[in-house]
Amino acid sequence: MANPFPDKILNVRMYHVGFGDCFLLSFPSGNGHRHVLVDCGAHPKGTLGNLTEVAENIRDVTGNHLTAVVATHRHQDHIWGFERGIKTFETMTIDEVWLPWVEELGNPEARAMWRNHDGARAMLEARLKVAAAGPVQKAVAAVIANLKPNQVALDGLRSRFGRGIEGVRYLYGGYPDLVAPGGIDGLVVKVLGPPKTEAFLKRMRPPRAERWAPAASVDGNGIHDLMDSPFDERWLDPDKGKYWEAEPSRVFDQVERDLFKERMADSMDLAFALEDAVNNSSLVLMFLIGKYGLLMTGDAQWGSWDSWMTGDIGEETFKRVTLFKLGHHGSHNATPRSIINRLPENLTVLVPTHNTPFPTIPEPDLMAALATRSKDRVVRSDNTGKLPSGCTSGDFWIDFQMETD
Amino acid sequence: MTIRLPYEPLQRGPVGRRLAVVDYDAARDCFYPPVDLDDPLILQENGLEPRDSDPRFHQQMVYAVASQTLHTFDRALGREVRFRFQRSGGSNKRNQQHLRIFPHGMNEANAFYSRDLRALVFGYFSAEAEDAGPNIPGQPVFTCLSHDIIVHEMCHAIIDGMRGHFLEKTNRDSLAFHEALSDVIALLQHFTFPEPLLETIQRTGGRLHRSTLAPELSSDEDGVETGSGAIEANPLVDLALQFGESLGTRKALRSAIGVRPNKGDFEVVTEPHDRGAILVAAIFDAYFRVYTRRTRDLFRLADVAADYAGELHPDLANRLCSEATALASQFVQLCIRAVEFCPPVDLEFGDYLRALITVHCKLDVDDRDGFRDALIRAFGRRGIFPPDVRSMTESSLRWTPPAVRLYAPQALVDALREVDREDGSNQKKIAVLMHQFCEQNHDALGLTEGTIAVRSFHHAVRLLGAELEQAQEFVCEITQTKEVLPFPGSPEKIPLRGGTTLVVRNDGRIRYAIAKTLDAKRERAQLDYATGHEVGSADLYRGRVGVGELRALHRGY
Repeated sequence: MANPFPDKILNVRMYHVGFGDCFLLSFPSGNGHRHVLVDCGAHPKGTLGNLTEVAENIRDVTGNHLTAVVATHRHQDHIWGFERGIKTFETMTIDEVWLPWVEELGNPEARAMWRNHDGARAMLEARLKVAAAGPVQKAVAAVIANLKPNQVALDGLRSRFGRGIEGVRYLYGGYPDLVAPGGIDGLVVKVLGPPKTEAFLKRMRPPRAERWAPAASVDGNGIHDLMDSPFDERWLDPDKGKYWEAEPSRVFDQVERDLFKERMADSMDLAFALEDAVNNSSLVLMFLIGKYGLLMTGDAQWGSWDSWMTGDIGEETFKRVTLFKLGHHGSHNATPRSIINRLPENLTVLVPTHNTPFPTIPEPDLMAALATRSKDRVVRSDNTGKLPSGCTSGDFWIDFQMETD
Repeated sequence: MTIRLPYEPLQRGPVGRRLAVVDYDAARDCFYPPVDLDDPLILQENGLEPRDSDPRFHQQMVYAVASQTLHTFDRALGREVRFRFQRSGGSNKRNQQHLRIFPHGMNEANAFYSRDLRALVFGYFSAEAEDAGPNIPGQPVFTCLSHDIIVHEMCHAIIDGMRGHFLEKTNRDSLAFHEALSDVIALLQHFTFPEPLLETIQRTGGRLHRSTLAPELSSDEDGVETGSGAIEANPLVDLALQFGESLGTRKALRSAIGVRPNKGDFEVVTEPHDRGAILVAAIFDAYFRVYTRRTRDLFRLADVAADYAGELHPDLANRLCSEATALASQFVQLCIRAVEFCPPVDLEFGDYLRALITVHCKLDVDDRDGFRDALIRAFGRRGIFPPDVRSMTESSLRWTPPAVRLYAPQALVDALREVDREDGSNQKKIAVLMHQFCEQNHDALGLTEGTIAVRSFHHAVRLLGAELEQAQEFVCEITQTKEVLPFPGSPEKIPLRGGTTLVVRNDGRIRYAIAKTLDAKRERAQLDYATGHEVGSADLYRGRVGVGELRALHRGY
């Protein structure tokens, strides 16, 4: 199947893979189109099982040629398809691969980050093996499944699917603009994230004013509830441990208590913290072509947004967005509240999402606010609801077409 | 059941000299008020009555069981055990004398020992609605109320104090050993309590092993009969029944003891608990075998047939019970003392067998009850063969003195005799002298050239044999570390470990040099092990995240 898209049409295809991201951007160029694939993955516990078909469809639509493959970050729901469909990708022509800087093997900061991350993940896995499967454990298991590094996909990406490491770029916020990358005339890609400083990467939770859901007892997407107090009210120490402050051997003073509390963060906290940290390593790209601005956010969270959204870059970016790929499948903690009113009103929002495995995603308040702002131009990959103009649905995708001149 | 402990003055908590119970709940950031066991109202009742709903009873219980475990080790070792982190507070240093015990530290179905928190942390959780066993769904379950769990975690803390490198995964056995020994001590404790034991003896017709060990001991020349009829789990071997049922875990141990040993398992099982279960089963196999030998005459005297399944005469039951409890205490002692005769690093199960045999030879030269034979057979039947041993016989298994007769210099012996933990200058002197001695004699002591670290030394006074002969010994841990790149271009080095445990007689003669020489072969093996494993799991104990933390390893508790 040669070029299926009409000339001069900028087409964005959002595949429906379940809980996961897969976007094919097709830019008119010369007589046909040039294609950029942004992510290809599904959550192991929320997949529709169609990733190989998706890869084959990508091959067919692009005439076996991708100008660039982008993997925003290494979570399974963004890269699993590069494993499932690896045979397909290996047969295609792929000019460039863009990855976040944390994936560069020789980078010592990245190594240190992954080492801690893998250690914590292994610990969680071991803990899970031992605990009975209650709702908490199931949720943690779901998060962990997504965190497991997919070595096949990562190796494929880093080697441009066996073709060599030239043409593989490791990007970060502030990287020089990519002008006409891969020969796509008129395209400029601005790299907004991930930030290069660990300070930003580490900041996962937005401040209260920027959050959607009220902060629960722990940041567990609302799934985690502490059991009721194991003891009667009357057994609560009214002095709140003052005794220990005065205790002469300093067995457990305030310093010790803070340390202990920090270390006792429970599995759920830790699992989501890990998940969030990797989300923050997402590539955030603004594709500018003609009057269109496609903002692809990966799953960036607060630290990433905060590193660019306040200054001139933020100003410029929000002014020019016409298509907004909503981050993190519409979770409560990935999209700062304050950006809604900074988005232009004629915008279209693409939401790759699915109610499994996290019933609380997408966050209803966020979806409602976006619907209001965009005048109902919010498109979900699971295609629930009316499609706005310019959108058509296919076998397992939705196409959004924009005319260029 | 009442637990008796030596008196020590207690502050509220209870906080004693080495243990401090701190009832802080990190999940809720709240405290439950500390019990004052010196309160006259509590004293006159002999402590608080068991009550689930009173946190002060929980505090009393963890304190009592943990203290008892500590004393069991003290007694077996002939010295006071020290925790890995223990040190006195200097002018501006924090006092680190206490192991802190948090009976309700987290809202999780878990309990763990953490070296860097200097703590045992016990969790509480609500029984699962679908599968709560005999618990009411949703009722709180407290891991700190399980005798087994407390003993098990306490053992982790104590073993870590004795051999700090056993938490390092240099091979597949070392962590499994931690789990196994902790289970062995917890299980054997059951056999030292006469009341519940008596009931089990009645129920099993005196053949304690019948329900669990019957298949593996069948048609044995010891005359251990085949169990017939339904196999009902032996209540004494069920670790922490309440929690097992709430969690559906700990099947590994039960199945290891209840089935015929399979030599193949030793080759393939790697998960620490599952692997540990093989060692636990071996030790229990030996325990039951010795018990059978010791009680055969009683059964004959009472004229009880091998397949008799009815009620036992109370006198017979009592005699069987005292045999079982006495034997359990002996096994506990043996198992604990053997740790002292283990190499300081890179322990394998087979080394532990050698340590057991060496210790037992000193305890009981004649071995009329066949302890050593039972141990050797139990290990052999599970394919656990020590490295570098030609045959599974007593004489080859015993550790040997260095090939040349070697004496520690007099100055070192004198310093060791006066080893006083509070005296920093003497400790330093010992370390320096020991260091010199090891460098001069590294070949004979199984050490290589290179950095030598003196890790610990203690003086122990033990009673040996039937005549209660006193033995004074010094035990020293010497370790060597080599940092290498696991593969070319690796961003960081990993430590390879070797070392020797020196057992020094009172007169300075080197009795044993129990060595894990850091030669090319050992380096290769440790490297292969480190690189053959997922980065994450090796990091668990080496990286920042979980240093010395056994929490991850715990199957529910």
